[in-house]
Amino acid sequence: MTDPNPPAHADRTAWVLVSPWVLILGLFWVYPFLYALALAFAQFDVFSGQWHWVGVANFAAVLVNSEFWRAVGHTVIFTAGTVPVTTALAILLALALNRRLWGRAIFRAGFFAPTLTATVVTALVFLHLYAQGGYLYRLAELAGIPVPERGFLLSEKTALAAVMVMDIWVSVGYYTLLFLAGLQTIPAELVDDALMHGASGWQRFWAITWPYLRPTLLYALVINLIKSFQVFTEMFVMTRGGPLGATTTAVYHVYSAGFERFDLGYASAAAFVLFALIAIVTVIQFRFFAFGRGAEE
Amino acid sequence: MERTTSRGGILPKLRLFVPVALALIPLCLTLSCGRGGQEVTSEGRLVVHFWQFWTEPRVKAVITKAIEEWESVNPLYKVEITDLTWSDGHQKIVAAFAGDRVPDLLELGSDWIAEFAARGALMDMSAECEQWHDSLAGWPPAIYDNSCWALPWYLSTRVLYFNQDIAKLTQGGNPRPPMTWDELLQQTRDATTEKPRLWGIGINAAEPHVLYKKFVPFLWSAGGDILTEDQSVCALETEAGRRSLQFLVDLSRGQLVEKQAALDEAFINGKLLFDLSGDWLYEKLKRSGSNVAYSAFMMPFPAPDQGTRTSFAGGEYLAIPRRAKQPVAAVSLARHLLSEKNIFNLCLATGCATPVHINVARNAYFADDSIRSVFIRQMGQARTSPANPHWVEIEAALEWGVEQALYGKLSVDDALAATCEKINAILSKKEDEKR
Repeated sequence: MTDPNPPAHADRTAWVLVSPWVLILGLFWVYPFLYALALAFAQFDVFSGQWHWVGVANFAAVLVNSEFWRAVGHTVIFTAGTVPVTTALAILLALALNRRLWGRAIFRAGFFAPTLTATVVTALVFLHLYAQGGYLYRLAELAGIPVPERGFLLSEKTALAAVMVMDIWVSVGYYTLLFLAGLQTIPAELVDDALMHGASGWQRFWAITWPYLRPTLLYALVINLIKSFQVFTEMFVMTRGGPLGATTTAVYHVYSAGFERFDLGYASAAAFVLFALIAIVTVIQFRFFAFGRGAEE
Repeated sequence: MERTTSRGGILPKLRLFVPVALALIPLCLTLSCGRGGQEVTSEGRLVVHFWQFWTEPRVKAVITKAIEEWESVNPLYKVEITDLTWSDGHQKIVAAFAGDRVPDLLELGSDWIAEFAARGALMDMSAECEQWHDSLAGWPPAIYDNSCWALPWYLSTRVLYFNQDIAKLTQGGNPRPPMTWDELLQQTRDATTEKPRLWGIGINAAEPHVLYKKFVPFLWSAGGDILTEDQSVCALETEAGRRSLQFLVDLSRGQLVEKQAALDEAFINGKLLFDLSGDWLYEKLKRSGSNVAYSAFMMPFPAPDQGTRTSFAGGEYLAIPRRAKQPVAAVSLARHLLSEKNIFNLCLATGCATPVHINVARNAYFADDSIRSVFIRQMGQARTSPANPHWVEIEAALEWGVEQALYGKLSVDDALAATCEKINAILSKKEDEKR
């Protein structure tokens, strides 16, 4: 039985053991967080290091800035377009790869490979594929699919969608792996039982597979949503927020304000507004998608 | 239950050790574990920090060798080279100044010098510049507020590359490069075909820091400018501004609109009649083994006997931060890097066609080469962006306006008016902040 009142030296030992992590947490998470929070209420001159407190002026500037909200709009479109498609594709692929197929290991590795490749490398490859006269562009032309006058990434109408397609291609392998792991937790006896009782494939999916996949689904949705709200590297490498600001997402907007214009106060305030938005959406997600949790408990 | 406290063992020592160690880390970092704030190597040599952008192994090797030579005659010093990239180098430099971890010698893009000088981040190098004045070219970006803040190290301009194979298809046996804007427009349209897929010209779009460089040559050639002479107001809303932007819009219609790397690739693959590009393309063409028959020409005139053949000139400069710990060594190292021999070697490695050193530019290697000589002539009629401390923001506004016109979002007049509104807002906001 565990002693409810451990001796003091045990406490101290525990503190010594966790102190490296506490130190790292303090130095690299808590301190920057508090520093950024302070910056959000100030104008900061990076060269002289001078602070000038401005109260909530930076937050007000963010909230009335149409470019910030346009960037948030692009982020929402990006998230709404990538998260459901990635999730649905990943579930389908996981179900397929969970069967005893010939070459299953090769397919699993193949789908996962894009996840292992650095985003920058993938983005550079897609830059070539999407270019006017690039392979995808020519393929679409040959297939009679209407193509933009300029390359996919240089057309205002297609640039964001092109980046979304790349993101789905990159991400789907990772989520497939997650769902595959979820599927592995289903007891074989349950499936055998259902088969013996003549349950159809669809019935087996709803009655057995789906309930077991729900925790993985919630995790996948939350993680993917947060990642999508923070999308940046793709835009930085492929479009720099263009053309005409069509791929400027919220984080790119923050980056641009902070590291191109060096308006660190505004950038910090925008980052905190984005943080609040992500927190709200995540809470909503938990409320809506943690369905049936009580019953399971 | 009363808890017992242990007074012996390792914990009390740890309690003392941890804060002391933590306090020593920043102290050591601040003082760089050296003497008098100077960083010293384990062999007792003073460290000189040099931040630069050349990462390509062939070029880096040339720079490293030059530095080793300098170290051999200055055994008191050891140079630490830090590589930067153009995509985030500016941010890293600003962050370094903000954190007071500045290098001793620093390579800067031509359009950043005024910004850093205005912020008091650079050492005034007027006396050194005076000594180099007649030996080096490319001074305008280094001058701000009547002082000189950096030494030119590397210069580059853009010329019009011309694919003679495509030209023969449309012009017959003896193709002629365009002398005027009208001829350029006509030739690009004549050369654009669906089958085989060929384009007359490649135009940049949606590429920050690059797009404006393809507009300003036309603006300057037509006699226009971005800012007024005293740099207090936007000067784009003129007949020259309208004419040049309209020309760029007309030129882009039906053409290959892409990023510079893709345009250069298309030229190397024989898909473009014209490519407005720099000396890097000449180097790429030679190394790629491309069988495209090409030549290079200076920018065309706006019309017969009208305007100039101005192109954009960019450059890289050597500056010394005001708070550098080894300014004397930094000046000495800069002098060494700017020697004729080292400038020549740098140009050999980079493929540079316009050496910054005037004596090197006269070398037969440059003067007798048909393409390099075009670059040297074009450099004589090239201009740099204005040395303005707010150029980074002004550049973004300018590119925004050009993009609006190229994508047909705004008419040429409206795009110029909106751009000027943005630029004037930047200039007046900065004036207010100064007050």
